[in-house]
Amino acid sequence: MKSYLKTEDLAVGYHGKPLIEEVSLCVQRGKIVTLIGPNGSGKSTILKTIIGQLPELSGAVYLDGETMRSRSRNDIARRMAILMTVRVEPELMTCRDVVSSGRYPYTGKLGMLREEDRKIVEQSLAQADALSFADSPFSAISDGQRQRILLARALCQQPQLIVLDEPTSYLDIRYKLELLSVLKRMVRENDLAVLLSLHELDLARRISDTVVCVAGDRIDRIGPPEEIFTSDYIAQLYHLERGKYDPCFSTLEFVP
Amino acid sequence: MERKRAKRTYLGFSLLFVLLAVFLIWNLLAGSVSLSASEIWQILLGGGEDLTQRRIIMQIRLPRMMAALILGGALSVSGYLLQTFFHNPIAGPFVLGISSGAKLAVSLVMIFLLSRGVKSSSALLIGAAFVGAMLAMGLILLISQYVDQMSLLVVCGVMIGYICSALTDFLVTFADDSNIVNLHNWSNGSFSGMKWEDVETMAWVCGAALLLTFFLSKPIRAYQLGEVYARNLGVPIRAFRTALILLSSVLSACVTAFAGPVSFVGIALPHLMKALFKTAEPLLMIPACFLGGGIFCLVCDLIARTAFAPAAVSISSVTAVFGAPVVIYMMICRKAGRT
Amino acid sequence: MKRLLCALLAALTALALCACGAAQDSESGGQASLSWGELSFEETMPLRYAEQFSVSYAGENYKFITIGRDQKFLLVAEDADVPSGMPETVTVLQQPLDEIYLVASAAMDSFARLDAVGCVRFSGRRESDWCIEKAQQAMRSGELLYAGRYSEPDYELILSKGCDLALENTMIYHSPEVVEQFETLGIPVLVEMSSYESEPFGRMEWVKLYGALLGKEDEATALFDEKMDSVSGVLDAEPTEKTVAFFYVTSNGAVNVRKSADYVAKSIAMAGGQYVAFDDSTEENAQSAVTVQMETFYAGAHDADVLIYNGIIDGELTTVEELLALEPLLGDFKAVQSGDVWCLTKDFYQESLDLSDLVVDLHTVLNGADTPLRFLTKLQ
Repeated sequence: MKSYLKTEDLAVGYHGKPLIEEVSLCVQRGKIVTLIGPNGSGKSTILKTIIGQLPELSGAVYLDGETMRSRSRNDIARRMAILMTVRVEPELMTCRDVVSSGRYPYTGKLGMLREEDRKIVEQSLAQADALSFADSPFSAISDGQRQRILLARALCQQPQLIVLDEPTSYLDIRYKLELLSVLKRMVRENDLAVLLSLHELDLARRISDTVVCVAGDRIDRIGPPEEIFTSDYIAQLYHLERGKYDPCFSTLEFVP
Repeated sequence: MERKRAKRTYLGFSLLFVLLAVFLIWNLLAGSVSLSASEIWQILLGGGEDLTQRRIIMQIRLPRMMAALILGGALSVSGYLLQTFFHNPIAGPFVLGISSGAKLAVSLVMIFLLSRGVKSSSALLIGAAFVGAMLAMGLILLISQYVDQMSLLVVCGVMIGYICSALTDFLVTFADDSNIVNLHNWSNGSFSGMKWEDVETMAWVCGAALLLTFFLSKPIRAYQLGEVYARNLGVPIRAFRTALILLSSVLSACVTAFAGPVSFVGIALPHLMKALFKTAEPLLMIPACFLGGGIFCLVCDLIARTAFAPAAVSISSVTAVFGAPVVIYMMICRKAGRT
Repeated sequence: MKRLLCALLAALTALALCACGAAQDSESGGQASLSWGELSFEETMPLRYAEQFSVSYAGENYKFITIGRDQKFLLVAEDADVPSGMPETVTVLQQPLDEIYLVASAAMDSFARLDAVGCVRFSGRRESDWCIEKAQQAMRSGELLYAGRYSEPDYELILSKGCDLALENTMIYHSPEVVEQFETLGIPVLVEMSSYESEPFGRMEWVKLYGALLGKEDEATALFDEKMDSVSGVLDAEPTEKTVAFFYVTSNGAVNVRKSADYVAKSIAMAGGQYVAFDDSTEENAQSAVTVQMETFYAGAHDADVLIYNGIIDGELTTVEELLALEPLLGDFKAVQSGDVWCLTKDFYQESLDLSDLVVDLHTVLNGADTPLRFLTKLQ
């Protein structure tokens, strides 16, 4: 099956200095690809480069067969939506306002919403299970609710690909599960391609179709969860010195 | 919710229009010379037998009022743009060093040309102030190409402001006493002596800038979520930054050139308008800030010219007296809870 | 939403258009039988020192006045007609000029002496800022009105009470919009340039210009001649060898001294003293000062015979202690130790016609005579 997102020999880094080279991964529609790796290994850097926040140092990123560079901004906006770790602090916006901003690629010169735009906003809120607090001010809701609003916002862009950077980091277990189940449902319903990075290995194992291991200067392994989540490999990837990874329960064990 | 919002919007704008009408009329009626409402109405319709009265209304009061309206509006919109752009509630129209650049240029003209006996015209001083402001803006634009974080631009702007002020002080050491007095006068800002030619020029310049700004509403709205999301939504970040800096600078430069640096309007008014309309949406805020800023300056100018007539209090003193408490109150509110 | 915005824009545009419909006022002039080209100015006012202005006469009714390089006026007598075909560069003034807005404070003295304070309707200074008795009286009685600072005059007041001339000084060149506004309102502006005179007595001679404006040439000439007579003895006297420094201390501890082309410096020279200068004496600018560091001043003036403190700027000094409080180093100066320190009083700046008296005072001080002084007070 053709991949929706493909990177070919991509080199990523800051200020012209490559951090990770030869990044070649791909994401297909209806599949979830997860990046795992220790802190500072470069997961965010890869994601930032893919979404265009950082310039590609070499290589290319293909979106639905064509390079990102050759596509117009509006075109990319209609295909790829994001949910990053950067803190969003909009002034005086309700949740619905935040979600509505996702319609940007589709609205006219002054950005005013039409009836169909409003419908899509409602649908996205429903899909993200956020209708109940849609009219509250964005600054007044919990972190878990915020992530769902941002997810609904991403959906409004009617993308084929969503890129998320540690979307569950600040959430408690309930919201972690909720968010990821919403994500999984959207993948099924909308045939989305999803690329995300996660710290929670148990969750990664549960939702991913493919796991990409980022090891600090290169991509170490790409494969299905069964192959990656073994005791030895995880210990090696994360440089575990004390404790070990139990693949059966996907938990960490402390060595007494 | 939508209906509540729409209601607030209609009420808000109605209030602004009413206030505008009230203060336009008040400004027409008030002055050192008392003229009755019917006399003024006659004159506005094109009649009025007394030449002096006609001159007072048409050549003195009306142009001054129009200038206060347009320039107050320009300042307020410029402040809104910069506060949105820098996600900083105390950013103002002069945070990028615009007024310092203008002051430096004016001091250069005053000290070097005027003392050599070159005859001056107000156009010369206005032009010099505008050029000075634009040069400061050019420097900022240049720096913005090389910085990633926009907050650094504010620092650069403040630094440019300091450098220009230091240069101005340096020049002042070569100045005669009269130049120093005049520079001090200029720095306080004043709407006195506005003529129709001035009003026409500022109407064109500010009008064009405001129109362009209005058409930037969509990307501004996207930018309110932050640069990362704005980029993803398709906003051309580089071009947007340049456009925003350019437009806000042209607006502030226009004010500085014609009336000198008028403080506080640009910082306080956007907050007031956001409190009134309970939204930061640019489609609403841009016209609202323009109206609000215009009204605010009309009020302050009214006070400045009539409170202690015939002496004129400088406009910046009045705007500061009213504007500073607003800013402080806003800061407290913001800290205490979410807005 | 869209409709609301359109309505807004339309309203604002309408407002702007409405306001911009300012009718141009036109002055209707009477039909004149005489034309500008027919006037021939044969007689000129004799001037001994003044170079910045000139007055020439065409018969009884017309005076052509030029000031500086660019200002040209035609002063028309009360009953005479304004000639036709007036060039744009010449401003017409019609006598009587009795509703004057006087900003140039140096001119008030002349007006007071010519008994013409009544011709001044508006002042650019408050009552408390005038040192001239007649001016203060007129303000107190309400005949003379305060009309705002030179840079922000109260146009409405001036226009409503009627004004036929705005007499400004060169400071107004820094606020050109005021001149332009006056012109739009139909009020002629005369910028007096007495401060550009290189000869000190040239500044005094401007009383003749004001005399011409007011139709009191004879009185003006008499006044001027009287002043010159009072000082002729001094001018002919032998110069002394004494050195004199004229200065004041600025707020940040530096010293402001006059340049050698300045009229005070020249007055000192005329009175027979030698001015202690800190600049190259080839510059032409007549009213100019320069700020020097205290050490430079010390080096140049510490053995000057006489020190004169400029009391016009920051206030007069009465005792030596006050002087030393400003700058203790001055205690080392020869003049301080010998008690030859004087202060120039505040009213000097406004009593410009008495410049000759200053010269006489200086002469008295330099020669150690006992005659009472007008403008100089000795520090105790």
